[in-house]
Amino acid sequence: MGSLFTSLIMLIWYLLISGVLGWLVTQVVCSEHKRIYRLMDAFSQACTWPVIVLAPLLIMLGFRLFATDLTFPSSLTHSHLAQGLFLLIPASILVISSGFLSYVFQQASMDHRYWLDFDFVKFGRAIGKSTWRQLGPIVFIKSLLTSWSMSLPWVFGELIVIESICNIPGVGYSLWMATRQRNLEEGFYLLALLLLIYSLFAVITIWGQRWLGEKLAGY
Amino acid sequence: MRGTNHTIRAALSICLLLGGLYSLPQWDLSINLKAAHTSPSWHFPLGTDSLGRSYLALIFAAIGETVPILWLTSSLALLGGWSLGILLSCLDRMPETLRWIIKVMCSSLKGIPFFLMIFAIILLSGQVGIYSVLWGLGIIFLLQGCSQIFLLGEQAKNLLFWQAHRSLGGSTLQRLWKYGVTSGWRHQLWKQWCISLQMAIIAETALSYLGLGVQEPYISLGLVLSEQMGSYLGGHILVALSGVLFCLLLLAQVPRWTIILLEKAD
Repeated sequence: MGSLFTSLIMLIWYLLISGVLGWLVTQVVCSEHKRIYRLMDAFSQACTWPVIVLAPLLIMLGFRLFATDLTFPSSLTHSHLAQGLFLLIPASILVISSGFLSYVFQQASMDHRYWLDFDFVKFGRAIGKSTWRQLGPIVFIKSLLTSWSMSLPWVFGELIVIESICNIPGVGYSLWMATRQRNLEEGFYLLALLLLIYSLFAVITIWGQRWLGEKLAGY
Repeated sequence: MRGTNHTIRAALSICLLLGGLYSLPQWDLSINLKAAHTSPSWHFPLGTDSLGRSYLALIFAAIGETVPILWLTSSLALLGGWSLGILLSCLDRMPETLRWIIKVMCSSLKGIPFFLMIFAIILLSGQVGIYSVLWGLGIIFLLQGCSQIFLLGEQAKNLLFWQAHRSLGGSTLQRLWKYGVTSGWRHQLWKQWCISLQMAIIAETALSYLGLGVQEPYISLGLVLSEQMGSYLGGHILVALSGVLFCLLLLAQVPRWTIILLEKAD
């Protein structure tokens, strides 16, 4: 796999995992169970560890407890599918270290509180409709987009570190190698490439937020 | 009475902890090849490295040597940035076009990932070591501090009480200090300071781990962690690793917890 392709697959995994997590968090928030809510609050605040802490710990634990090497399977015997699937673990580390969980929980709580005051929600609750069915999709999409835009700078920064620690041959790993070899030309090319991908993702999330804002303005 | 009891208990716990730590026999960092790769024991609670130095002593030395310099540099750079931001905001006669350009630059700067900036600075400087890391952190925090104050000033400019103060003859500096730095923006600036401290530790450790930060013979948490990972196939490495990670986590997370407390207070 090419370095750009590898990094992009990891970012796509990141988006998928964060999407699933966002969905679960929104369900917890909309369910209005106070104990689960408090537990989730504490968990999301406590579980934002930097990659430099989390990645070596997982590699060590993986090797010690499960006899599994979590560094990148770059040998020729591994198929592209196996390599793509392996990127799921570093992408999960990125989700935790970018603070996504904390952002999405805060944002979902804020949006949930905001939308509860609307008449259509009050009316729906009065006739027995669940809050999740009424607010779930709105709160989910809005909080997901906002959380992505907040965590993307961290993701793109930590991408270099995680790729270097786990030997993942992506753009971040190549940038690390270029910096070590003092290869200015390649280094700045890779930096520009990373910045370009980041800008693309950032523009998409901003555009998504605007589009959603316009849609929700009618309520 | 209950408050006094808690204070006495806390003081006793701290004394016991410090006493316990200082009663540990091995604190010197001298090379002792006979004790190389020793398993954890009372003498070496986290074992020893390839040169026979106690890992616990190495971790404490790393915290004592690197962290104060990092936090001092970050704080000074941020203070410099805030001062520069106040100075820029006070320039009332600045042309609107120039003001707009600075505003756009400040907004863009806030969005650029931190690690990309620090890699760019290391690439430009062409050197690795603690000084390049400190320079990188200093430049980034200076720019971030400056843009934070400038953008806050631009936002607050249209507030009614700011305009009222202006029409009564008050100076921009007075407004920035009285309504901004010491009141309205206080929590945001504290938060930025805490994030800077956290980022300084994370960046230094990550860069040292990757061989771009602190180099031997200086000691850093990243270097200790890197050595652990290099030999993770043998010995009681998990114990040593947990020690390094615990310290790193604590140092990186304490500023974060301060931010959470500040947000709760808000």
